[in-house]
Amino acid sequence: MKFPAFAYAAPTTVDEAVALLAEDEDARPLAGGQSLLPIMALRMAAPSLLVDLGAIASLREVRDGPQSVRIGAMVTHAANARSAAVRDRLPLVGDALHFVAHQAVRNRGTFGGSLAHADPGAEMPVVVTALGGTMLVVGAGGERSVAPEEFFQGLYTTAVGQGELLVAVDLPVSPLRWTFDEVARRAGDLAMAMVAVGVRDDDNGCAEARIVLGGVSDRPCRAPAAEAYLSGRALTEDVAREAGRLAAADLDARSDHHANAALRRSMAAALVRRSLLRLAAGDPR
Amino acid sequence: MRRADKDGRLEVAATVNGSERRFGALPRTHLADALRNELQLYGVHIGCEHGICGACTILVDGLPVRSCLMLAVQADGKRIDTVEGMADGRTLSPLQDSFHRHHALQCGFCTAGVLATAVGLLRENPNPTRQEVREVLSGNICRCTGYETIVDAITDPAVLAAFAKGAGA
Amino acid sequence: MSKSEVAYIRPKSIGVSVPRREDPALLTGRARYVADIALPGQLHAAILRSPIGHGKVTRIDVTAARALAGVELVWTGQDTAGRCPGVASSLELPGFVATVQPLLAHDEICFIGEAIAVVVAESRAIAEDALELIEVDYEELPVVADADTAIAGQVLANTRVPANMVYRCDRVTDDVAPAFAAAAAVVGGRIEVGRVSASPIETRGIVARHEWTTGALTVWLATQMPSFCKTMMAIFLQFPEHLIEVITPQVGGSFGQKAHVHPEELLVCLLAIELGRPVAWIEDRQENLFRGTHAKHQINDLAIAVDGEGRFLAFRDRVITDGGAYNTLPWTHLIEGHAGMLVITDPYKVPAFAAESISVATNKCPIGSYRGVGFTSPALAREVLIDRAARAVGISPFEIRRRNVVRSEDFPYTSRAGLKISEGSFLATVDKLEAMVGYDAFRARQESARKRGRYLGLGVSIYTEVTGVSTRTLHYFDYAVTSHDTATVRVEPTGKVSVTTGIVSSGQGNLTTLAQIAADAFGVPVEDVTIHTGNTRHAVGFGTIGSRGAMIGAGTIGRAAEMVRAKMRAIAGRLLQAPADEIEFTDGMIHVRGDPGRAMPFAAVAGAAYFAEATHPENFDPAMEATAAFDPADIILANGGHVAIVEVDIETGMVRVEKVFAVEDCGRMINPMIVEGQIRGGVAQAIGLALLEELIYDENGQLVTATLQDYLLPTALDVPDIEIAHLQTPSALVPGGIKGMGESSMVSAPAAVAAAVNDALACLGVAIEHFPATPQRIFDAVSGAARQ
Repeated sequence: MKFPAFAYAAPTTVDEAVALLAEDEDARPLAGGQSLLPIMALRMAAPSLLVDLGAIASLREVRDGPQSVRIGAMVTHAANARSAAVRDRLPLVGDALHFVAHQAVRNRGTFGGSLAHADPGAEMPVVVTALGGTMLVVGAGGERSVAPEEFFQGLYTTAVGQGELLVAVDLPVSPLRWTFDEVARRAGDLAMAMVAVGVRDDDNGCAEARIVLGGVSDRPCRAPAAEAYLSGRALTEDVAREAGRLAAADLDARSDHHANAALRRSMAAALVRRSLLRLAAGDPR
Repeated sequence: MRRADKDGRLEVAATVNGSERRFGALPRTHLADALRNELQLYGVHIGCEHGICGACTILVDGLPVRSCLMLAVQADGKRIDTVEGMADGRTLSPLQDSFHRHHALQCGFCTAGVLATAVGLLRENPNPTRQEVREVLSGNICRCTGYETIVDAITDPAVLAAFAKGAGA
Repeated sequence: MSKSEVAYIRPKSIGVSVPRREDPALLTGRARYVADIALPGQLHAAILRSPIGHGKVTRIDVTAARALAGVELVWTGQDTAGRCPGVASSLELPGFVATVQPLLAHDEICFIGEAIAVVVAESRAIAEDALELIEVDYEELPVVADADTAIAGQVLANTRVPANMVYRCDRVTDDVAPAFAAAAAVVGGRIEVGRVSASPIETRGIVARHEWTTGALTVWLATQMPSFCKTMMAIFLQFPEHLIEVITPQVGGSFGQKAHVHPEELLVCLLAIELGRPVAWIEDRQENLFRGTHAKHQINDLAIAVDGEGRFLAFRDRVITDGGAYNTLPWTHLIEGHAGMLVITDPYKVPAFAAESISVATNKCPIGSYRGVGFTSPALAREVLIDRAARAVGISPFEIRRRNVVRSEDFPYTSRAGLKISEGSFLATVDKLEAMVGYDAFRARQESARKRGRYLGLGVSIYTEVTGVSTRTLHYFDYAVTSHDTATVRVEPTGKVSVTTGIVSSGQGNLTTLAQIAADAFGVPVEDVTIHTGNTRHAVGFGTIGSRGAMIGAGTIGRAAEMVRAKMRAIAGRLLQAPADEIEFTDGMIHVRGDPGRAMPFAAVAGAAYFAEATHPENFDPAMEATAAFDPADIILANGGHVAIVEVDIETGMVRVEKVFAVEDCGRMINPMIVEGQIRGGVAQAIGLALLEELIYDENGQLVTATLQDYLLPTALDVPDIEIAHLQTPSALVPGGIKGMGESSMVSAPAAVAAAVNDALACLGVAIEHFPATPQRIFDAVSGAARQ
């Protein structure tokens, strides 16, 4: 299971990287390599050139802003988890990182790499969708902003075009209280189903809810019916159950040998219900 | 810019187990193979070569990393620690000795990776609970021990004391 | 003297948890596995494997592969067929269909992953590049993807196996109809244990070197059966056996997968002979999942008839082995269902038994041995149904087992299949487990959890394990094979002891445990003993398989040591002026029985044998070295049991194992620490088999689970802490009273986990009968019940 042969370049600026990627349509950016390299080991991908982003210092920055935190594409999961800005202002990211693969993978795997790989079982796409992040994509023509709904286009497919690079994501600081949960065959495996649930409380209970499911279909998806239902309701057991039912009913769930669509819907319903009840109890973990 | 074509070797200069080492590597060569074939560090074991089993875990700049999921050319300028550098001369490190006392290894094939993972954990958290050890350990597959004695070994008081003093592995 | 003679050993080091002498090399990265062998001029092989499940190669073009820089050789099946027809595996049983698996398929391809071509190159990477340049056209044939299709016989999986029927046998044919008619309750099910892989973390591997000037073929091989492999290489390659040396380096786990002669092993020897340069083939993980032999796949259609008190009246079993496209060597398809059928009733008293075993060929990887082979699946089927019977008659799972196990007053008890049970602690095991678990408290906790929508379950499993595979064992399971092993024991001039054994180690700690045995044989400290192993030049044997290392080691070392002790007694008797038969060996001294004062150091007697002729009796042969064989007089049974407690999440189908309890009776323990290590490791594998691990083929014969991302090995979070208790019923047939135990947890713990899942679901009126109990299967069962 040796990698097929490839050429290698380690540019030190984004412009150099974009130029290299534009030159060769079989070139691929190499972020942490924790998804791309296994695929190459299985010889399911054979890029002609790997453009290693590891030497571009600007991509490794976490920048705390007034309304949002900007996370560079090459920030590793481990660095993200240690970042004070992420920990204090984006607690949902930290909660979800707990489920990402394993320690050694988190030490190399990157935020941007995970988003650009767009595996439906990965956590970070759900998180950026939940928080309404803005993806910053750079190409020969400059930088453009892409919303998650546009960015994730299906199984391993994103809006990043040939010769483009995801360089950072702006994640707005959310007024909601969030929780994250998932079901995977084993800890660290890609999730069969996962959910990020956020609520804004008022005196009557839930003033606003946002629910994003992942793993269940080919990209992260909102649960609009459940969100609408929750608005203005107290988070009782029955309400949580109904919200779970509504969230699952909306789903265009996928099947694989781990779980068929019906099981994924059941998992989604259970995750939504349990997440809401954890939030109701004031215990997001 | 560091750059090489498919057949071009890049020179890699790294601090390996405390010594400055230089070797050439093709872009396609992963770090595990380079450590084994160029530096004869056969203690780095390859179990799955696609990043799941954890047998090839080593420390890169002090952090546990799967050496099958890192290119050898990416090791340039890094500090690399493998199991060969863990003992103090002919004396097992406190962690190695604890594995011996607790029967935390059988065939030994996964052990180097487990030790690297344990070092990574204990340097960050020198007093982990058994559950925290299991969480971190879940990225290393051991097919022999059933894990319990590995957890025993990592949470042994002598090991925790050594890491608390910064004198772990 | 008989090969089954039981030498006297006085336990002293035996019974102590001596830390393993293997560890320092393993902990420091200094141990060398087969992948670490780097010889001058060594080349690397990679194998092209079939992407289809069944078909023919209509065209193969290796021109481009041969032309690639760095490639030394490319062979297809045309090249190997003339040199070696393949791995032939046959048994002398009426109706058994032997198979020959070619080293490289040259006509029919019978499973995905079957070898088609091999490239030898300067590096593994270049060899893999060359594989991509080989052009192959296939003609696809219909696929036999499951046992039912195979039995129907309309489509053939392997055209050389008529009607797909490798073997059918009904060795036990009691008339059970009256018992079933009279039963107070009958429980039955079609219980399927899916395909799993032993998945040692070190894959298979071989390095071979042929030196034409001497004719020597030297083979470094990760194997459990070095002597057997050597002989088979000699036979299948028509190579002079005395010129073959098989070296077993450190082995990174085996669990039965490395207890075969694999086609690649013969192939690499041929390549080394052809090229005159060393050739290494280190299997990659995908190859291991495709071809490293699969295991356990049985479907037991089992029914149990019980009376109103839950006593067994009869068992009826029809077991199908989904055996894959070929027989493995030496085990064949019989190692699963056929062997399983012959032990499915044990350790219970079952007055009437009817059973049929059917082994069929399918377009899958051949079925081979994996820890607990044959036993795991029938034990799971039996124990799950026993729990169901207990529920049917309203008694506890412990009580039904108490009422049915063979008790000491029944010894010797002979099962209807013919297995004689003369020792064991079956009743004590049940009692011990029940006490450890706190059964009544569990039921109360289960009830209160259920009210909160949480589903806890408890499963019990009691087992016998046929340990120390021997000639008697092999004959019982219809293998007309004789096995014995040897050890050579030498007392060195300074009183140190060197032992050479054919028992190799892949993590079991045999260097330590065999040293404990040899130390006690001579009454010397364990530090004074060295164990040499891993080279076929020095010892012969059947291998480290079937929980036999400790027992066969003790038997061989004990007998050889006794031969040397006799000589030392003769000298010491003269020097101490006592009859030789009154001389004893204790604590590094040799003394007169009952008179420790009349003594001399062990080393002094050894030195006298070498250097002081005056001390020698008349006609004394001073060779302080003896070689002895051992093959136990009868089948040796260890026993014990497991309890698992699980929680099932019925909405997600996920199962969490909360706790496992184990009771083990392997006779006298040599090294309790190592015994417990074997138990814990086996329980982890058991949890994998019962809940996680499954090799899934689709209807086209494609393997869906060909990476470790899809074939799910249990992690540290899937395996709980395990509580262990020991009983010790010594064997009369092995020195020191030792029994084997390496496979026990994989015999029995899967059943406990499976039964626990079903216990959790019993209140919903559903049961899982196809394992592993995946989220999907649990969800389907629960939602099926909800619909009704």
